[in-house]
Amino acid sequence: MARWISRWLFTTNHKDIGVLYLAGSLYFGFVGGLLAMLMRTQLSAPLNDFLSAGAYNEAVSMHGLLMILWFLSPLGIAFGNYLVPMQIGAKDLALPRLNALSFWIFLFGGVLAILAFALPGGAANSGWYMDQPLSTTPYSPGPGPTLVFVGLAMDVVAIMMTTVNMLLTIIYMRGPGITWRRVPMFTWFTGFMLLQAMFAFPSLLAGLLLLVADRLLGTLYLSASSGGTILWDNIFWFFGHPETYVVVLPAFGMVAEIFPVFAHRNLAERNLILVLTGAAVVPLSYLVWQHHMFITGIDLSENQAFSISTIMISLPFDLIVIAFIKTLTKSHIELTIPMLFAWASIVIFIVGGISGVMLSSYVLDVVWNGTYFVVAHFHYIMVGASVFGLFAGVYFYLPRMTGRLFHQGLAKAHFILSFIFFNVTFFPMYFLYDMPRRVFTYEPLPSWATLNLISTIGAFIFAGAQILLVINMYYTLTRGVISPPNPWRSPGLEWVPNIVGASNATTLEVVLPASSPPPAAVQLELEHTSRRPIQLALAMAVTLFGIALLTSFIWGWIVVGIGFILVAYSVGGWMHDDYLDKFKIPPQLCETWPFTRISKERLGMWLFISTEIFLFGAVISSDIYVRLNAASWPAAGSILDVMSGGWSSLLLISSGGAMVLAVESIRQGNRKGLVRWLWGAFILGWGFIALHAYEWYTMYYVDKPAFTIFSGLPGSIYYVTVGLHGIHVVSGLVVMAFIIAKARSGRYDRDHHTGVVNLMLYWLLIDVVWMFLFPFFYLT
Amino acid sequence: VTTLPTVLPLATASTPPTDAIWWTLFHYYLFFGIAAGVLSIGFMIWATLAHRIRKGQELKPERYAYHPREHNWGNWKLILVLVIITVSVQSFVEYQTFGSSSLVTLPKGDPITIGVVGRQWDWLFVYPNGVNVEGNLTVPQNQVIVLNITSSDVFHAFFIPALSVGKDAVPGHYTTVWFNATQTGTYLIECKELCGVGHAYMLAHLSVVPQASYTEWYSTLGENET
Repeated sequence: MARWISRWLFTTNHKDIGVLYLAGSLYFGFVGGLLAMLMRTQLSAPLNDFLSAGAYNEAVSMHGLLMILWFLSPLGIAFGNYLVPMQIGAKDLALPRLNALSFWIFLFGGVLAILAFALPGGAANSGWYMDQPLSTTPYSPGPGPTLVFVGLAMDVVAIMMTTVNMLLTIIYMRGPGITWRRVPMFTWFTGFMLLQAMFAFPSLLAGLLLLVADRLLGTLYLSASSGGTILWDNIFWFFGHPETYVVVLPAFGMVAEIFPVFAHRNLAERNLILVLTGAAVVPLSYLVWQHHMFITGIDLSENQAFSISTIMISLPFDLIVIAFIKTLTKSHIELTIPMLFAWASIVIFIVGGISGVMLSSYVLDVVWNGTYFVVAHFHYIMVGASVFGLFAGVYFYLPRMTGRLFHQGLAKAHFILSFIFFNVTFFPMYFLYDMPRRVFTYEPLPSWATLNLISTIGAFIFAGAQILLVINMYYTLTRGVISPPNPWRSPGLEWVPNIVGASNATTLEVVLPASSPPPAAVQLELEHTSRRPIQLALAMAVTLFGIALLTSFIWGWIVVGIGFILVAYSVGGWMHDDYLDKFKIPPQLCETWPFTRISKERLGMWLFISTEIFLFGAVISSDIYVRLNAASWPAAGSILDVMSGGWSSLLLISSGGAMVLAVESIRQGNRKGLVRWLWGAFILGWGFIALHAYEWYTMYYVDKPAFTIFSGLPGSIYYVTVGLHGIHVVSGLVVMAFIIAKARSGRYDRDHHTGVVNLMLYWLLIDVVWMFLFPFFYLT
Repeated sequence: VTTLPTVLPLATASTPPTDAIWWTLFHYYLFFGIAAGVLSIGFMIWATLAHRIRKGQELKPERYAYHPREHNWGNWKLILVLVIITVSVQSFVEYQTFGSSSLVTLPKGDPITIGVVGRQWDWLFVYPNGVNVEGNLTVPQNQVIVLNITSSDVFHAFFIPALSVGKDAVPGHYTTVWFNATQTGTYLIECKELCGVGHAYMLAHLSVVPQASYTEWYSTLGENET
């Protein structure tokens, strides 16, 4: 048993982590579902007093956050983890430890968010899109909401890391013969989903950083009396709209896998679907965000533009759905459980999509915006299309994950009850188009009362039916009939046992506690485990928990202290493992075009840098926005010392130069030169930090009047932005110390020095960001 | 026990300027939406039932064999053209609505401009003579009313369901909306954006009264307040 537990805690195997994601996301879905039941109970009758207004607001906000960011997005990632490497013939994800780290950060982030219910101030209560300034301290005081926001930031970081990791896997680690044309549909759709996530999530992370800075440090980004609201709206919906596709695309990928198998024919118009999704859905999704702000009073011609772009994005979806339907013609359809769920997903998507097109009309939206019509629409997309599609995947791959067959009768009951009562729950909401969302109670209008009661009854049966899925999963694990290797006769690579060696051994023995020693193949997998991911994630969670407490409890500092010790311990441990080459993954199979000449690690670094660019881009745009909105601004040089800023810029840029020379040295095989230039970069980097520390000290304690983070908008945005950059510099320096240690012991040579190159890329990113910050803060 | 302000009876009849366009558009969307939905879902159900494998029926693997690398572009051009036509028509209708819509230009005449301030959790109406009235917006019948909406604390959304009039109330910004109520009566004003624990109670009345009574009411406005 102890071995079984430690195996699940320390695993870095992509299939194990896929199973963990599945369990984790279903758990958060369960919590979100409970909150929905509380809400539906409250709304079942007019003037009900089951929940107070405050409790209802918490339930409605946390339901949205948990369902979208901790249930649906990770459920797609669960399948991505489990299937993508097998579908493309890779042994594992490109960076297995990072993958484990992502999972634990996601899990602990969710735990923090749920813990917030028990803290003063309660959980988040400002809706899932966290309107400003409602989410700032004056209107939602207490450590509770802060904890939700830092938990959410952890979740976002986890998804960003997974994004880099999986994109890297898909681009770089396809097995022999898996050309782009042969990449299976689910992997394609996961790739598209990741492309969306890569640009959308950094924007949200930047927004959350500003929000937490406002709450903890007292900055004035979002709590500003003017502008904060609109700033947040833009940041949030730039993330928010692509996020709905992040939720839907994996489900579409699943449908595209399942339809051909049970219709016994090819997926119709495969290329068309791919081209439309990649070339139309993904880019267009970034051009429609302001349709969430139709009545916010933005420019009317902008409204018009966004109305048209929203209509345009329905076009690729129309064609994709038509292609799916076409797959059902000239076919021989087996109505198995996965097929039924996939089928229902498309039917429900059609209804939700049509109501979405109706909402794209500005004139209609004026009336429907903020009513239950919208609630009905996005539940048809998110619960309907996405959950049904992914549940199809759960049933489809249960035999693959457990090696056993699920119970047919239970599954059929689950499907029928879910399909009927999903519609009973949400269809009446279309007729509640005149009832505002998020009111905790309403007037005794007969039509509202009846429709709400129907919806509540439907919701309880719909939610109850989901218990059947859990029972069925337990039944499958413990009592299911042993499954043949490919029970659905699917042609997919993921069904072929042992196609690329150890990683694809059947998971039967892996899922259950093994009474007998596991087979050799499984044994092999057990070896690449690491304690570090869970340690580091826990350390982050403890630190952030302490930080969220700081405003209310003095002992929060103790928690923060413990957290820092844990972070130091786990980061040190991680480096220690690396230094001793403790963590080995099996060598990869192949390298393919177009990235043959770029090493896997370096490509990963580039992907990471793109997310960083979006993060800093969002923060700097927010700064510019705040500045343009401000009535007055101190003149250049009146507060910040241009000379001091100039010197620190010089130090940082020369540090970058030293890094470049370090890489040059090792490229020529000069190990001594490498160490020397690394030391140079290291010292210059600390010089930059020291100069900054001195500058900050002067501005806080010497200058009269002091220029602090609380002394107004210029101070707020200066300290937050430069501080964020400073944290990046310090993290880089910590890694640099590690690289220096490795370089000194001669681990790098002419041909093997990816670590150094990556550090250089990161260091140059830091330089470039500073080249934006210096003129922005010091010179203008 | 929770109590709400009595806002009954809710008026139903009103013909504000946006309404005709709203209903035209709504019917257009409803018709095409239902048509598209019934056609596609109906076809899906038919295809599924027609092609399903019945019990005891054997598969013909040779006919329905799966060819993973057979890429078929098929007859998509026709569908693409159809969809593009639909989307273009829709965009055109939207564009036309914008052009003719009274949302864009104010009708001629002398409007009454009233300030609206949302705050946790009620609505404040500021009349041209500077008098603030809480929770009740009184306007004359057949008269263009321009509302300048803002908020003094958090994000609210001002909405009169019966008149299809709505606009967000954003702190630090002013948004404008106008309407012309043609029928007297009492209407409900609500907040449509989650704004804190009092959100559900953030209601107000709109009283549309005949011109004469409005003039009389307005002349005494401010006298009762001290």
